[in-house]
Amino acid sequence: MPRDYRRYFRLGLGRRDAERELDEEIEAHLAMRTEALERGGETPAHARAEALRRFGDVAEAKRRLRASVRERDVRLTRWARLDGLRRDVRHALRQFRRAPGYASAVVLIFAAGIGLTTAMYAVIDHVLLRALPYGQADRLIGLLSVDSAGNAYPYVSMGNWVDWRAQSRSLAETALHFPRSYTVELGDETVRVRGQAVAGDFFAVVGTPMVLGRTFEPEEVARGEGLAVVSERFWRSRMRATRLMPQRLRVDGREVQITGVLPEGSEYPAGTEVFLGMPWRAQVGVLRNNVSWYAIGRLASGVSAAGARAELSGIAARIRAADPVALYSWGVGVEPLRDRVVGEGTRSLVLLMAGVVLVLLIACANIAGLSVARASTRTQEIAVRMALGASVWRVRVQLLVELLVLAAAGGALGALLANALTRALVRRAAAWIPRAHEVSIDARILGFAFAATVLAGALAALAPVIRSARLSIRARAGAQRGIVAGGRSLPGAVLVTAEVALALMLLTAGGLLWRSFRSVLSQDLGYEANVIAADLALTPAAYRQDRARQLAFWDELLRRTRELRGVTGAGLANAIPTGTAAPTFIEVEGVDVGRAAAGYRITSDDYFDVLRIPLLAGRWFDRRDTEQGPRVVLVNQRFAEAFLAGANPLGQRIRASSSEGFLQGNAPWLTVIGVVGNVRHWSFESEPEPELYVLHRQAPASLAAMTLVVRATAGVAAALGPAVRAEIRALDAGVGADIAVLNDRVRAIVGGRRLTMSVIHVFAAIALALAAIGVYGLISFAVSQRTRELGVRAALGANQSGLLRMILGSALRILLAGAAIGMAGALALSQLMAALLFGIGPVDGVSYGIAALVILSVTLAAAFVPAWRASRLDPLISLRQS
Amino acid sequence: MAQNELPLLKGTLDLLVLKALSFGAEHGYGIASWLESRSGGALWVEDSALYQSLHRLEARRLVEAEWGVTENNRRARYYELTAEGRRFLRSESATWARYAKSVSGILSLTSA
Repeated sequence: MPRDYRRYFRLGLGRRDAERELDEEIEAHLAMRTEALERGGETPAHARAEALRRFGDVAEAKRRLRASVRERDVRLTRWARLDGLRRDVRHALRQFRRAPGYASAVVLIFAAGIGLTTAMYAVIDHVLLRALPYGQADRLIGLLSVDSAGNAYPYVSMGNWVDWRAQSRSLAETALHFPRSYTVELGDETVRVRGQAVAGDFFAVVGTPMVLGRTFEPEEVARGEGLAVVSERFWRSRMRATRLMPQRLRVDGREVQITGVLPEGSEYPAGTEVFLGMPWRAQVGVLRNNVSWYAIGRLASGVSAAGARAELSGIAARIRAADPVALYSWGVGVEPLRDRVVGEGTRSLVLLMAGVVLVLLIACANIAGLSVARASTRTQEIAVRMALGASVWRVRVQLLVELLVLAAAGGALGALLANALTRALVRRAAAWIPRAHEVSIDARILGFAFAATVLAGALAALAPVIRSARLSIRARAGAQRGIVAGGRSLPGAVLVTAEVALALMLLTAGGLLWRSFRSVLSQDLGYEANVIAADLALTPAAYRQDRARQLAFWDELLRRTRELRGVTGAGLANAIPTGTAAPTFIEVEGVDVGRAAAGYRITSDDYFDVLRIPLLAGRWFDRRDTEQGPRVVLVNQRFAEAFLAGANPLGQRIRASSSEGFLQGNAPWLTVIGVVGNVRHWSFESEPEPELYVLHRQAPASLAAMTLVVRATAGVAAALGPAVRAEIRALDAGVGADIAVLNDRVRAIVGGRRLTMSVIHVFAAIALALAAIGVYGLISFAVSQRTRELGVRAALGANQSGLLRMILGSALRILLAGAAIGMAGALALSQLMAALLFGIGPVDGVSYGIAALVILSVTLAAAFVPAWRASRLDPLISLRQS
Repeated sequence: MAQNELPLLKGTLDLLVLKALSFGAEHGYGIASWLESRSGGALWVEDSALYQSLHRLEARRLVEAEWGVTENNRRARYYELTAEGRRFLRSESATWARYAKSVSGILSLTSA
């Protein structure tokens, strides 16, 4: 047995030693034979000569054997290492059979840490790190308009873009697109789908080959042909994947031809189902200021984004020189298309990744704590192994291998967990994570999981490996448990301090996000969202250019809707909160407001009543405001303060110059009849903008697309959707409708924030639980090691509460140290999340206070359990125990 | 002495060494003396060949070596059969016995 062990722990000898061994072996052989011959009566000299003769050519033999000795040495080194590793793994597995509770706890903690980290990394990697799923994605850019103040907007005017396209050499291709909701007729079914109106070289920019059919050329669209490309998903679900191209389809009441199918996952923007070609032309004057398009492009080879920006800005300057009213031609911005796609999600994702790394670190510290405690109880085993010749180094490798084996099991489990998590994420949270549908666990992510596993295993092994040196000294000294174990340094105290600190960081982050969320929700939106909203489009050809017919449809729809059971009010608007709105430039009679802009909304009389927007001054729209009567307008409080201050706003006259100007050459004057409350249209966080409301029957614009809002008595609202749809169908089956509860859309606005907060809260809860387990484990271990000491104290008259105080006191010191370090860490982390905070600063006392309170009370409670148990030990039993 | 010594067939030495070790760990000289005494001096093995055989066997992991101490307190390298070596010896001995039997069977045929 000892021999076996010695061989086990011996590595290769090195070449020189190996040759010396060979010489020694041969010399021993010769000596033994000589001795034997001498015993047989030969003279010493003769015996030696005979021994040499029997051996053969010694020099030649040595030369030959040396080569094989060298080989053996190399082999032995390699083999010993491999064999050692194999034995370590086997040894580790045996250990786990001996302590299944410890092993499964460690595996589960590893699995949770690695699984969460991997899932989070899968999201980060697919969303932030990988190229967009379009051809040569690094050359794709988004173009921005720049106004005289240097503000860049992600939308452009068609007029400007036509000039860019004609003159630019730095863009290989460029295209416009505009998100639309299309009414599509398939057989006798009418559905609304997400679409994009596209112009220019749209498909050349995106650059993915079609699954089926072909794209269409700008010239074909210019000839007036209705041409469309559909997504693979649309093609499969709505067109039964027919191979026949082109196919006919009715889109918004118009006959179009589908020329091709885009492959799944390569639609830009993601989720688009129908791309409809749209003719374009140069525009001048006020039309040039209609900035409602998104422009994308592909850089020509060898051109940098900065180069393109410089060239396009030169073109913009020429446009401005030729067309002085061009308000958005003070430059052109160029941004990587990926920034546009990913947008603000980046900040949340970076925070979440930081959060998950903290969770993983806590998990490692936790495991290290468990392992240290376990190693301390294995002093005996280690002592035996060292007596058998194992070096400190060997013992360390053994400990490392043990944790790596556990980490491997945890990592495998973690990969499964990550897979489940990312699937759930794609299903539930796709709306708030850009590119979420691309997220999956693939080889690259598994590679990350592997690296995370090795790293986590090594990290968790760090503390036990370092401690093993101390253990081994004890082992050499033959120390027994109980004699030295009552020492002052608690094994793992540092680890628990770290756990508490890290958990506090996460708790603080969770608190900050929660407080921000509260203050976001406490913002007054200016309206009540518990209404039904139906987006409608009068796409059938009969309504086109026929305002009278459009108005008749809307009035009849309002009348019928109001008669539905439970409905208390119905109104119309061209754009309702949470949706889009076209801003307009305004003029105020007698006041120079510069290039002031305001939201332009077209509403029916009852719109304000349905959304509970209050009237602050003047009067509502009413019957006096007839179609042919004097034009009237309502403005919001913000508008009045910004542009009509200094005088009574009522009776002043304003113009919606860009919204109404391009239809009539010169926009008509509108008389302000009332001031209404501010509304936060876009989000809880943005400040209300100046807005004006014109009456639908007086507005010169087409009323082809409006949103119907319906208020009903409590409890009926949700059930009202089908009834409203039935009325629309009864009125005109060709009109498509998108019906939703406005509250859902409002909730969706804060969905991203809510998601970030929830995930951080989950992380914080896991961190808290791990820290509590760590503290519990540490204190349990400490009192078990001090049983004898505690027994002596109890025997000498220490009372229970004194013992309890003593144990808890030592725990509290650790917890307070952790909390102090955690506070510093939380300060650093909160800087990272400053952009996600709302209504509070990064140094929010309440969040820090709550976090500290939670961590201290929970961990102290975790420490209390074993402390209390220990304080009640019978001194006789505890003395006997050791 | 030289006249009745038989030269060893290739591969046979390895088998004999394994057999010598099947009784327990032994050093090179011990193996040599064992072979000499068992064959009654009939087999001629040069000691250098014996060591080459030992090294060969070690390379094939049929034996493993360890330094030890002889009865006379001399340091010597002891060789020991591995499990694999034991298996190898068993199967090769059987093969050798079959081979030897058929060869001697043929050689002992008398022309009828």
